Amino acid sequence: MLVCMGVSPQHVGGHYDWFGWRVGAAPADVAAGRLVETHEYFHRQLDDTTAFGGLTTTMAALADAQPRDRWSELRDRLQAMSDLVHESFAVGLSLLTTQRRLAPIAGYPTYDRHVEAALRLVGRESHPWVALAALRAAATACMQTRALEVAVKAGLARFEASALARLDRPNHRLVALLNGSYADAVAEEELRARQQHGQQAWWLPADDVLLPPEAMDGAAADASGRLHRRLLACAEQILRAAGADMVAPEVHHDDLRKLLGQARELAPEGLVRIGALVEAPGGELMHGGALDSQTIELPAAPLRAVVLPYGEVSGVSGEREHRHTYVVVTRPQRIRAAHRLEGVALPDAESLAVVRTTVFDGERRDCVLMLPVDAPEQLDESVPVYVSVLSSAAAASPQQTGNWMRWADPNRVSLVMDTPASAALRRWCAGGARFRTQTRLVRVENMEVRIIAGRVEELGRRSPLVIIPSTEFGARWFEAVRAEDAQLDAAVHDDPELFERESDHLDVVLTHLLFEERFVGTGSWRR
Amino acid sequence: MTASEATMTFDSHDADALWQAWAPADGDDILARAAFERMLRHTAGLEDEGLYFRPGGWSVDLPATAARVAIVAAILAAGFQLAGLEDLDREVIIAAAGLVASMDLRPVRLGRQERRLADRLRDRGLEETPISAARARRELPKARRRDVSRDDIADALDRLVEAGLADRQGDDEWVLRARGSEAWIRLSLRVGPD
Repeated sequence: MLVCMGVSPQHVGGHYDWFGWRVGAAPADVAAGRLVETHEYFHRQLDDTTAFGGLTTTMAALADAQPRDRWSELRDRLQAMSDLVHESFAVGLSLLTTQRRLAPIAGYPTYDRHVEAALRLVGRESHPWVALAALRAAATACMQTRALEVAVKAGLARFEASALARLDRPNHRLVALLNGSYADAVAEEELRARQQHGQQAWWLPADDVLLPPEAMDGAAADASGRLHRRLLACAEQILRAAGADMVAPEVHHDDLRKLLGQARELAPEGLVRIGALVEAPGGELMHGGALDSQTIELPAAPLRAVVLPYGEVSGVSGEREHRHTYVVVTRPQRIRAAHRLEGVALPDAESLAVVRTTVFDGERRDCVLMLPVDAPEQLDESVPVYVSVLSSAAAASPQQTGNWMRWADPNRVSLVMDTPASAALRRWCAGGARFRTQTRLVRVENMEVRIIAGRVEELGRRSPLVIIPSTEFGARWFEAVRAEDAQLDAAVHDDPELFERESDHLDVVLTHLLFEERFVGTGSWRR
Repeated sequence: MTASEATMTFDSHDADALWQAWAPADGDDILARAAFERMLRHTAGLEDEGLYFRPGGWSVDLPATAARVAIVAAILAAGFQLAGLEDLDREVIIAAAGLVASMDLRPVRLGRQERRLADRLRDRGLEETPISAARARRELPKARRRDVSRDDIADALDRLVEAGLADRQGDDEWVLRARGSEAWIRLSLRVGPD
């Protein structure tokens, strides 16, 4: 049995798995929660934006599609060749972008050596503005290897990780930078930056703010870009002297497209993730993930779920004037991944609708009861019926989910996002529609979740209530992306009354969602 | 590390201590350390796929044999990494570790006497030079020479051989290795009772 030692409530953990990341819904100190999710986000950013990351995530997608084939072993080999770069980048960038010093993190002792590697790269006294550019340049240089080109030339079916030269492996490149003169170059840049920017307000720390937003805005952002390019060139020089090639940033995109083409041929049944380059064409690759790949683990739902034929027992929830029937249209895999099932077998279908409620034993939640229903017409409508459609079910079975959405009362139907949300929002609003939205912190029992809710409106028509379960990090990221993406910003409108106006609906849906689902979020469709 | 019946509790402090005991002289080979850690976590079944950002250290209860295999596999993985054999299959290393772990294995720990002897011989420029026990004894300061016999010196030189700091050339001849070329892993194996 594995246990974590020395963990106090302000220490939380996360897990990145090439597709997205998973965090808990337990209330955490905001700063701690932000550090963890920022850390996981930077893993994804490094994979989304680099050649070696593209190769590894393609292997991960193939491993997911064909778990019995050799892809998972290849994926693990590639990860083992790059894990030191990944961890020193993620730990360094997450510290620097959450107003912390680049120093060992109290409560995370196993990360001390990755912090030490980052410190050896950028120096112990570097200003965070310099350290940020220096760490990013070093990690990029390490990950921009010829590995992707080697894999494309060999063909995925014949590619072996052992064919990669040592200096095409990111961890070896990191050692070359550590043993080379990279830290000296950073120190020189530090001096230069102090002379040029030392008198700027953004350079000087104020209270707890070590690096204010202005340090990454306007002229300071341009200067940071130039600093990054100089340090990247320096890293390239060191690597070349050691005998390594570096592929310039973004030059690997053609090879990545070719590799994805090969992967699609090898997995004609489809790949679950094909990389930000293809998933968000034209989008900023560095921004992927926050609203596209979060999985939030909810602690309240019973592990046990009982499936019975509809009509055998009552599936009604609530008491007195709150009595209602709650129907969720989801996928059987999602149910199987979340619960230990008892009762009758789940129908073998792309998607299914179940009446769902919680069975109590006194005060204790004993199990989740699920009663599959074939069609809306089967339902007893003596109490109000609320319908939630999971977006992954809508993608898997558009006709069936469409029937349920059309049948339901528009004030009682919701679309719960368990698939990437940002591309969907862009798509929905491309024709001039507006997304009227509000974000709220929902804190119940031992859970803390941000709910982004809204409706897409166009020419007097309105969509089901869209619900995006997220975290403080995700909600903040949504705001930041809106600010940077003109199309999204024009389409998204704040609706400060939404939660009040939709309170009856949201009370029902969120209660069922938070107490009967074990995994939510825009990456939870893979669970 | 504590043993309870056939199960052992192994934790991140033990892993650190193990690394300190076995690490190369400079101790900062990050690739070898990563290979050690990766293999240890894999064989101990600490986590599945992906990269974890986990607070605190870790602790795992393992059957004694599994713990021994995990430890030996981690050390072998680090050694193979240092030797440039990083593409060996994980399963090959674990199989080899299973074999080694069936024997009684312990790191060679040097005492102050052996370390001082090695330092003294190095100071006298006798690295990479064949040397007898009597000659080695003569190189000691006069005051110390009185306290040790030629056999004591021979025993100390043998301990340096076990620790990978020297090689034995003949019945009464040893060669102290130069700094940086010590044999990093020199296992002292004792076949345990059936």
